Amino acid sequence: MIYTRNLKKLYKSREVETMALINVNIDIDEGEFVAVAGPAGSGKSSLFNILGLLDTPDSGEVFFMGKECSRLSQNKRISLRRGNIGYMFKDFNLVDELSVYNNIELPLLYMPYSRKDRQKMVSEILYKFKLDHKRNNYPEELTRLQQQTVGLARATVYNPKLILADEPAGSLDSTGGGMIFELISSVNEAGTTVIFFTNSISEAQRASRIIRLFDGHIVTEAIQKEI
Amino acid sequence: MQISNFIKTLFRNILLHRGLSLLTLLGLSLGIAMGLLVLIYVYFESNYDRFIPHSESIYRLNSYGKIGEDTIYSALSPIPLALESKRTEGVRSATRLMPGLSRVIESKHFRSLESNFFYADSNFFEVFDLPFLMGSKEDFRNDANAAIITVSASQRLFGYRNPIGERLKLDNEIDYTIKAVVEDIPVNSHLRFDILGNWAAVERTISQDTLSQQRTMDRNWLYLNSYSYYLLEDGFTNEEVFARLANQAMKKVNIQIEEAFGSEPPGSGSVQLNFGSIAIHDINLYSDVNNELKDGSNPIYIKAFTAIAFFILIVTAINFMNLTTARSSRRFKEVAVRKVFFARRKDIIIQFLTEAIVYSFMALFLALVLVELFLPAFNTLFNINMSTRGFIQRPDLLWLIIITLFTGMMAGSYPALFYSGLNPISIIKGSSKIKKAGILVRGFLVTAQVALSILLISLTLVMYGQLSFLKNADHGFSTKNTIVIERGVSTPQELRDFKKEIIRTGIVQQAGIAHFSPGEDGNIISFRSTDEEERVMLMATNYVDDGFFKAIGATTALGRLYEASDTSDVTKIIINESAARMIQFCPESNHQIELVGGRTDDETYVYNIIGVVHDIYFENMKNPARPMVFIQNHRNQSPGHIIARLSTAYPKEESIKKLNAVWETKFEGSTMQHHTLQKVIDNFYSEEKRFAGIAFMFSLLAYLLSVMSQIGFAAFLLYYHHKNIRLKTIFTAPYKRIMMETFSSFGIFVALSLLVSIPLSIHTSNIWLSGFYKSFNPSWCYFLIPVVLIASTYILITYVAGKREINKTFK
Repeated sequence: MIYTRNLKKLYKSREVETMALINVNIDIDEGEFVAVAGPAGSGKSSLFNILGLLDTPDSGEVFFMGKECSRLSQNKRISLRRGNIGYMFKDFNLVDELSVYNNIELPLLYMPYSRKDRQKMVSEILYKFKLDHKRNNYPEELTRLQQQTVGLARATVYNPKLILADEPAGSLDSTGGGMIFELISSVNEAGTTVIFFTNSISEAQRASRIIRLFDGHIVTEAIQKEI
Repeated sequence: MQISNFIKTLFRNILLHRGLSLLTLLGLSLGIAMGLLVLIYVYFESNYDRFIPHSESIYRLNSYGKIGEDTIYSALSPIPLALESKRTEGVRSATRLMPGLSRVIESKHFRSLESNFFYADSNFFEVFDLPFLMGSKEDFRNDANAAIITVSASQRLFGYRNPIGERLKLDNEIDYTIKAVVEDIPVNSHLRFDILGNWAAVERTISQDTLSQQRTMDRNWLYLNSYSYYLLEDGFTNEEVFARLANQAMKKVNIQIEEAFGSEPPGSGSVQLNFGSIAIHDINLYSDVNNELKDGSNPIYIKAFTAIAFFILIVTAINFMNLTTARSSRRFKEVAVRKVFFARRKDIIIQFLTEAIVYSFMALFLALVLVELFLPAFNTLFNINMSTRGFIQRPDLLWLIIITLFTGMMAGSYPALFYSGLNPISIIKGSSKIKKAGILVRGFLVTAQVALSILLISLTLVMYGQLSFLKNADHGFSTKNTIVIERGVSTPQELRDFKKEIIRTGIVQQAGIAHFSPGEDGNIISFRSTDEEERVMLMATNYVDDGFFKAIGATTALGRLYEASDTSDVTKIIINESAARMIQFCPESNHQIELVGGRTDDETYVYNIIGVVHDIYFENMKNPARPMVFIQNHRNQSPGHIIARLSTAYPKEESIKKLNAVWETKFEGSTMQHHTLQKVIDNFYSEEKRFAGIAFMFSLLAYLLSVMSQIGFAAFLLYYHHKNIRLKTIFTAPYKRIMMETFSSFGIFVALSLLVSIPLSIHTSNIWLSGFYKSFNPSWCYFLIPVVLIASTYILITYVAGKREINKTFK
C-alpha cells in the first residue's frame, strides 16, 4: 500500500535546525492496522503529513499505491490522495459553520460525485455510524465522541484505501477512546488499511503492528497479534 | 455543487459573528449605494436629449467670431442660417427656436409674465418629434398663430380646463391660439420652454410694419438671435453636410461683413464670424459656447465623479478585505480542513470570491434601499431632479450586476489569495502565524483611507470657509435691506409710476430702475473707442435710471453718478472700473465710446463718460467683474426691475407687505415678485455650495469608511497579539502599557497618514481656491480639525477594542 525509503525531514527556524525524521523506512501492506507510537517530538506528526501526502520529505522516497510521490507537485499529490486517503485528527477539525451532514459531505464536493450520489453516500455513512438523528446538528451541539465519530464518517464516506488517524482518541476519555477504536477497527475489518499515530502504548496495542518512533528514528517494529 | 456549500458556510458565519458581519455588510452597502448614486448622476448627465427620436442625427449650429480683441462663442446663430441649412444637401429638415424673453401673456383667465416663452418655426416638431398629449404637430405647422403649451404650464395657467382653443395675447402685440399640448420636457434635456408661439406670426407682424428696423432681420447675418437646428438625412455624415453648409453660409456672411465694416478684409480682419455644429447629445457636456438655453455640466466633473465612484468602490472593497481577514483564525481551520480534504488552491479562491460576490449582492439590495432614501438629498445636493419615476425605477440591470460583480471580485480578491495560500499542516498543528507583511499591507491601507478622509474633510471645511468669505465679500452693491422687484405684468410706464409711488409713501429710501439686476446676463454690445487706435470692445450694457446707483449702494471711483437733470442728455454714460481699464480711460481727456454693430441701423451713438463706478459684480467672483457700461434708461428700453432699498423705519417684512399692497392696488390680481440681493449672492455660489455639499457627503463617507477600516485593523492587531496580551494580563502588566504596545504600530500608520494628508490638503485647497478671483486665506484650524477628529477616533477605537479584549482575557 505505502512504503518509504530513507525518509529525512528537517525543520529550520531562524537559528535552530531540528531533524524530525531520520532514515525512516516503513512498509505497510493493504489491509494492515498499524500504530505509529512515540512520545511528543518523536516525529509522528511529520510522518503523518508525509504518509498522508500533505507534505514532502527533504530526502528519501515515498511510494503510495506503487507510485513514487516524494517529488510530486501539490496538485498532483492532491489528485493522488483524492478519494484514496482518509484523515482523522486529535481535535476532530470539523468545520463549526457546517452541519454534521455538510461536514461529512465536504470531501465529496471536491470529487466528481453528483448531488444524488453525495446524498446517498452521506446517508449511508450516517446510518452506519448511527448519526442519522444528528445530521442537522452543528459540531458544537455534539459530544466529543460524536464529533470524532463524524470525523471518522468524513474520513470514510468515500471508501478510501488508506486511513491516517492522528491520535484519534487523544481528546476523548477512555470509554470514548475505546469506542472510537472499535469503530476504526470495524473500518479496517472491511478492508481499509489504517495507520494511527499515538503516544499511548495501551492505544498502540490495539493495532496488529506497532512502529515505535523516537527522536525521528524507528526504534522497534513489532507484530502484536492477528485481529 | 460546491457553491451551495460555500453559501451555507457564509450564512452560518454571518450568524455566528453577527457584529463584524453586520459592520462588513453595512460598509459594503454604503459604499455601493454611494457609488451607485454617483454613477446614476453620471448616467443622467451623459444621457441628455436621448428621449428625442432621431436625437443622434440632430445638430445645432453655433457661432464663433471675433470683434476686435473680443471673441464670440455663442449658441445663438443668425436667423438666415437655418434657412440656408434647409437648402443644403443631406439636411432633411432645419428649424429655429427663438427666445421670446420675458413676455406678458394675457388670456381671459390670467395675465402672467412668462419667462419660458419661445418662438419656433412651424416645422419645429419635424426635427424635435416630441410626444403630443392633445393636438398634433400638423396643428402647429398649419396655423401661423398656433401656440403649443406643455402639460405643467397648462395646469399652472389654466388649471384643469382644456387649454385647446384658448387665445393668448402677447405683450399686446400678437394673438396666439393654443392648438396642442406636449408632454413636459424632461430635466435632462438642453431644451426648455413652457409655451411655443409660431414664428410665422412674428414674421407677418414685422412685414406689416414698414418702419420696423427688424424687418430685415431674416437677411441679417450679423444678428445672432436664434437657436438653429438641423436633422440629417439618412446616409449622410455630419462632417460632409456641415462642411457644405458652412461653405454656403460663410460666403453670405463675408459679403455682409464687407458691407458693414468696409475696410476690414473679410475673414482675416478684426471682425470675423464662423459657425460650428454640435450634436444635441453633446450640448450638456461638451458645449463651448455661451447663451445656452440651460447651464451645462462639465465633462471634467463627470470624469471626476466617475473616478470618485470607482474610488469609493475600491475603498469599500479594501474595507471588506480588512474586515473579513481581521479575525482570520476563525476561517483558518475551515480552509485547512478543506485543503486536507482535497480542495485545490483554485477551489479556495472560488469559495472566497463567491462569498464576496454573495456579500456584494446582499449589500446591493440594502444599497438600493439606501439609494431610494438618499435620492431626495442627492437631488438637492446636485441641484437636479432625478425622480424615481425616471430611470431609477428601471435601472440598467446589467450595470448594477457589473458594478456589484466588480466590487465583489475586488473585495474577495485579497481574502481569496490570503486564505488559499495558507499551509494546512501548520494550521492543523496550530503553529500558523500571520506574517509581519500582513500588518504592513493592512497598515498602509489604513494610512491611505485615513489620509483620504483628512483630505476630504479639510477640503470641505475650506470650501465652506470660502463660501462664507464670498457671501460676505464686497460685490460692489449693498445687500442690506435691498430687494429687486420684478417687472411682472407692468408696462414700462406703470413700473416707473410704481417706483415713484413707493418712494413717495416712504416705504423705500432709494429706488432705481435697471434693465438687468445682479445675477442676470447683460446685453453684450460692441463699442468702439474714439481715440486714435479705434479699438472695438465687447462690453456688458445695462440701462439704468438716476436712482439705480444710490439704491444698489454703488460708489464712484472717478467722476460722478447720474443726476435727475441728466435724463435729457442720453449721450452721458457711466462705466465700471473694469471697463475703464479696458478702454484705458483717462479722466483728463474727453474720452468717448461709440456703439457699433447692427443694433441701430441708421443712427450712431457716441457717448461721453461722466463717471467710473467701483466694480459691481453682476456675476460671481470666480472671475473679475465684467467690463460694463451703464446707459441712461431712455424710453425705448423696457425696464426689467426696480432695485429698492427699504426704509429702516419699518421692519423688513412690514415694508414688503406694504409694497405688496401698493402693487396689488396698481395691478389687480397679480402678486409682486421680488427677491433680495442677498439671495442673488447666494445664487452666485449655488454651484460651489453644491460641490461643498458633495464634498461634505464624500468626506462623511470617507470618514465612516476610515472608522471601519480602523476598527478592522484594531481587531486584526488584537488577534495578532492575543497571546502576548494574555500573557501580559496574567503577569499583571498595566492595561495602558499593554494597549500602547499592542497598538503602537497602529499609531505609526495613523501618524503617517497625518504627515501625508496635511501637505496634500493644503495643496489641494490652494488649487481649488485658485479658481476664484477673490479667495480667503485658510487658517491652520481648517487642517487641524480633521486631524483632531481622526486622532480622537483612533484613541476611542483603541480604547474600546482594548478594553473588550482585556475583559475577554480575564473571562
